[in-house]
Amino acid sequence: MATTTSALGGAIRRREDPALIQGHGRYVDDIKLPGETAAAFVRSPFARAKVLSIDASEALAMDGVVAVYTAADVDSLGPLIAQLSFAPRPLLNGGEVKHVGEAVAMVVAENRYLAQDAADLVFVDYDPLEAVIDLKDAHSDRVIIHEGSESNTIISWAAPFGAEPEDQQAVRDQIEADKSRDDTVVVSQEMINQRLIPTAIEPRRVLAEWNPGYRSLNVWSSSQIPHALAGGIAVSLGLPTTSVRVIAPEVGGGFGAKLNVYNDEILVSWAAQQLARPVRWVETRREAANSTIQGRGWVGTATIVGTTDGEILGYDFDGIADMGAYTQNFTVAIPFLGLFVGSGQYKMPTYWKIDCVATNTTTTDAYRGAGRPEAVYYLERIIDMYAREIGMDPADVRNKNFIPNEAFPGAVSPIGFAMDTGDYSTNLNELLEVADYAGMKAERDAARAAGRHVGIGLSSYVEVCGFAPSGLADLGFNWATYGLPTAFNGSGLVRVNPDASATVIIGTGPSGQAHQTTWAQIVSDRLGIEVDNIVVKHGDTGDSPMGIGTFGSRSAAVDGAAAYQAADRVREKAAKLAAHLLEAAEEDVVFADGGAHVAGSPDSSVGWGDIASIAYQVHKAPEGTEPGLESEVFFTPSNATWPFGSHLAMVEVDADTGNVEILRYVSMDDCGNVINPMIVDGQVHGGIAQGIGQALFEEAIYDADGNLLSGSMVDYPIPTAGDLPAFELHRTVTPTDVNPMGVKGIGEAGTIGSAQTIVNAVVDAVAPLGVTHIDMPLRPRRVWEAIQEAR
Amino acid sequence: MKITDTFDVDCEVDAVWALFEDLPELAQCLPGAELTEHHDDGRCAGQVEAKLGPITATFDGEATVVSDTATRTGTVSGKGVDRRGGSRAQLTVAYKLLEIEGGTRVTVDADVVLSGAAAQFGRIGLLKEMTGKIIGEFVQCVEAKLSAPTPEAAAEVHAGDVKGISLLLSSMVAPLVRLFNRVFRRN
Repeated sequence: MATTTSALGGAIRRREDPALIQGHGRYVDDIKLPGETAAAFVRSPFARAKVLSIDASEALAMDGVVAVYTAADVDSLGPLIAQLSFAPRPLLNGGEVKHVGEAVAMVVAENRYLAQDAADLVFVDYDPLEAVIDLKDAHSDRVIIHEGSESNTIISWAAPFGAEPEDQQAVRDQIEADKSRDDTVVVSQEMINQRLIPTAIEPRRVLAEWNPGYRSLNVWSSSQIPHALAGGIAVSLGLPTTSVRVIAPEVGGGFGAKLNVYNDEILVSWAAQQLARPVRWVETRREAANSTIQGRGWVGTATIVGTTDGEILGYDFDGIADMGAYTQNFTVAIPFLGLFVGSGQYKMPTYWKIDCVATNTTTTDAYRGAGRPEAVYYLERIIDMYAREIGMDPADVRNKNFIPNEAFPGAVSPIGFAMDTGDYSTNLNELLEVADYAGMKAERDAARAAGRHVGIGLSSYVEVCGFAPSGLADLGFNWATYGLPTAFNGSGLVRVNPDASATVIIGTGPSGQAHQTTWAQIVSDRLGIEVDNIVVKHGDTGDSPMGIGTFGSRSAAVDGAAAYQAADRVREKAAKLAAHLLEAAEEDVVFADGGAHVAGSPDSSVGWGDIASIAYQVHKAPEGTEPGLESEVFFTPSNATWPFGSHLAMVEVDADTGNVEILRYVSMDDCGNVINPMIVDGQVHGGIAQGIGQALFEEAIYDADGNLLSGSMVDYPIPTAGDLPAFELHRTVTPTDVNPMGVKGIGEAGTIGSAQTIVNAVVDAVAPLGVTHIDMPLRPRRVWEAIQEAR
Repeated sequence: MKITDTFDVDCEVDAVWALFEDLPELAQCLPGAELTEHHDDGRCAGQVEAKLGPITATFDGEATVVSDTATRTGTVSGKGVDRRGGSRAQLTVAYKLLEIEGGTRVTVDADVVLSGAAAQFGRIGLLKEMTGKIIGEFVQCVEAKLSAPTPEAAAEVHAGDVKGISLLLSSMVAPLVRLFNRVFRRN
C-alpha cells in the first residue's frame, strides 16, 4: 500500500477565499431568524464601585423594550467559572464592579437601536471605591481587590519548573555568585511588555434561539471554541450538553479574544430561553476594548550574567503579569506559557519567576502568542544588550549559547521541559546567509558614516504549541468546568461518500487559518482523492466530533493529525475492498488519481466510487465487511511541539522626529513539515504585522482611575500595509516526532519573533546616540524623548 | 485630574467676595452652568454642559458650597451624571480670594474625576487648556457684573454660552501658538 499522489507541501490556493473576498462568506450577522430581539448591556463607568441601586423603570416604559435583567434575575445561574479560575465572574454584577465596562444589566428590545437607547436610560447608582490600576501598586497589596483574598497575587509561576523552591533558589544563588567573578559582566534591565487590545476585523457577536418544543438551544457565535461554549452554556443553564448546539460559522479573526466563554454568550442564550424568542447581541468596538479580553501586560527585570567572551552563565527573570479583574479561560495560564519558553533555545541555567496579579482593569487572556511573545521579548532584548556590552556580534552570542544539536532527541530546556526537535544554529546561520548579514552590516555602517541612524535587529525564538499532551489536563489545561472532561485532544472524522467524494468533519474551525484548504490537502494526501472533491465541515457542535478549538497554533499538529489518522484508517479499509475488486493482494494496492490500482499496472484500476459502492452494499463485499467507509479518530500527541526561528530587521530612525521606518524584514522560521507553504507564509505575514504593531504602535492606556483612554480605533493604531515593508520569508525544516505529519504549528511564530527584532533594531540605530533601551510601543514621541534624554 | 490656577480680577476684594457668596449671580458667570435650585445652607443643584472633544455631556448634579468670609475661602464639592451618555463627574474646588493692589487674586484648586464616555473619549488632555478659556470668560463676566451701573444691568451679564467647538478650537490653538513661539524663538 503506497501513495503516489501527495498534496502535502503543495501551494494550493485557499479554497475559502472566493466566497470570503466576494462577500458570500456566512458570518453570524448573515443569519437572520424570525422574531429576533436585540440585547444591549449597561456597563460600569467605574473601575471599582459598589452598585447601590438600579432603576430600570424609564427603560421598561419605552415602547419596544422587552425586558431588563439585573444580577438578581440571573443569580440562579451562578457565576461563570473557567478552569484555573481564581475569581469567578458574576454574569451581571450587582455587588462590587471591578473594571470599567463590566456588565451590570442587560436590556432586550425589539431592535438594536431601541436596546441601546433603553440601556442609556437604566440608571445605576454607584458608590465609587478606590481602584488599583497600576500593576506595581496592585502587586504591593496596598489595596486588596478581591474581598476575602490575602493578596492581589493570584498565583506565581517559577522555574526550573517542578523543582523544589530551595532548588530554584539555588539556581538563583549560583547566578548571583557568578556576578562577582572577574571575567563576567552583568546586564540588567527592567522592561514593560505593554497591554494590547486584540482587534479582530469582526467583533464578537452571538445569536441564540430556544425551541421550547424540542427543548433545544441553537447558538451562533463568532467563537474559536464552539464545543467549550456549548458546554459552558449547558452547565450554566442546567441543560444536557446534547440540548445545546453551537455554530461558529465564518469567524472574522480571533487572535485569542474569541477563545473564551463570555458572560454575554451565556446571558443571551438564557434570555432567548426566558423569552422564547431569538436574541442577538453585537459587540461595539468600545465593548471589544473594555469588556472582551486584552493581552500581554507584563513588567519585569531581565538579568544576564555572562563572560566577556560571550558565554552566558545565567539568566534571571523576575516579573509581574497583569491579570485584570477576573480570571477567564487561560488568564493565569498565559504567564505559564511564557515560562515554558523562559530560557528560549539556550542552555544557560535559568531562574524564571512571574507573579500573576489582579488589577481593576479588563481581564487579560490569550492574545496571539499568549505569554510566549512576552517571555521571548525579555530574553532576546537582554541578550542583545549583553552582546552590546561585551562588544560581540549578537548573532555570535546566540550561536554560542544555543542548545546544541547533539542534545536531541531528549533535549530538556533549563526551564525543565522536554523539547521535541531543534536545530537552532542551522536556522540562524541560514538566515544570516540568505539575508547577507555581512552586507547589511556594511550598509548600516556606511549609512551611519553618512549621518543616518540605521540599525539592525536580530532575534531568535523558540515557542511551544500543539496543545496538548493528555497529561497537561492535570495542570489545569482542561475544560471540566464546562462539562467537557477531556484533555485537549484533536479530533477528525473522514468519510468517503457513495459518489466518491470525501467529507471531513473536524472539531476545530478556522478564523482565518484556511482549514478548508489544509484539511482537504491532508485527506487528499492519504486517499488520493482530489482536493476539489473533498468538503471540510467545521464549527458546528451538532455534527462535529468533540474538538477543543483553534488556538495556540494547535489545529494542524493535533486535529490535523487526527484527520490524517482517520484518513489512514479509511484507506486501510478501502485497500481491502479495492483488493477484492482488483483481485489482488491488499499490500499491492496503490491509491492515486481518485482511485486505486495494483502497483505497476495503473491501467487496471478502480475508482473511489467503485470502492464506496461495495462499502455501502456489503453483499458485494468480502464476507464480514461492515457497511460504511468512514473513521473518527481522536489524537493525543506525546508532547507539545517546539517551533523555532530567527528574524532579522533593518530600520532607520529619523532622529529629529523619532519616526521609525522598517527598511527590511527577513525571517527564517522552522515549523517542521509544511502542509501548504502559501498558507504558512500568510500566517507568518499576519504574525509579523501584529508583532510590529506591538513594537511600534499599539498600547492599551489606562488613566489612574481605570478609564481606558485608547478604547477606539482612533486612539489605538494598528499597523496597515503602508507601515510595513515586503517581508522576506524563509524556512528551515526540522520535523517534529510527536505527530505523524511532522508539523509543528505556525499561527503565532511571526508574532513571537518580531517585536523584539524591531526594538533591537531601533536601539541599534540610536545606540550611537547613547540610547540603551526604549519601552514599546516605539512611537515617534517615545523614540524622540529617548534620544533627547540620552543626549 | 488636578487643576490649579490663579487669576486676577480688576475689582476690589469685598465686591468679588460678595459675588462669590451670591450663588445665582456667580453661576451666570460659569460658562455652560445653570443653577436650578439653591438653599441657604449651601446646597444647590443644577446642570453643567461641556463639550469634551467629540463628547457633549450635560451633567445633572448637586453640589454643596461651604465658605468662610473671615478668610475669604470656600469649597465646592459636587457630583453630576450625564444620563444620556453615561458619563459621571465628581468635582471638588477650593477657592481663596486675596486682596492685591488694584484688585483681587483668586486661587482655585480643583480636582475633577470623570468616568464613562467623557473620560474615555473626551479629550481630557485638553481639559487644562479649556480651563484657561473658561476662567478667561469667568473673569470677564465677573468684572462686567461688578462694573455694571445698576444691579439690573449686572443681572443681565452672562458668561458667553459655552461653545464646545470654539472652546476646543481655542484650546487646540493655544498649544500651537506656544509651539510656534518656541520654534521661532529658538533661532
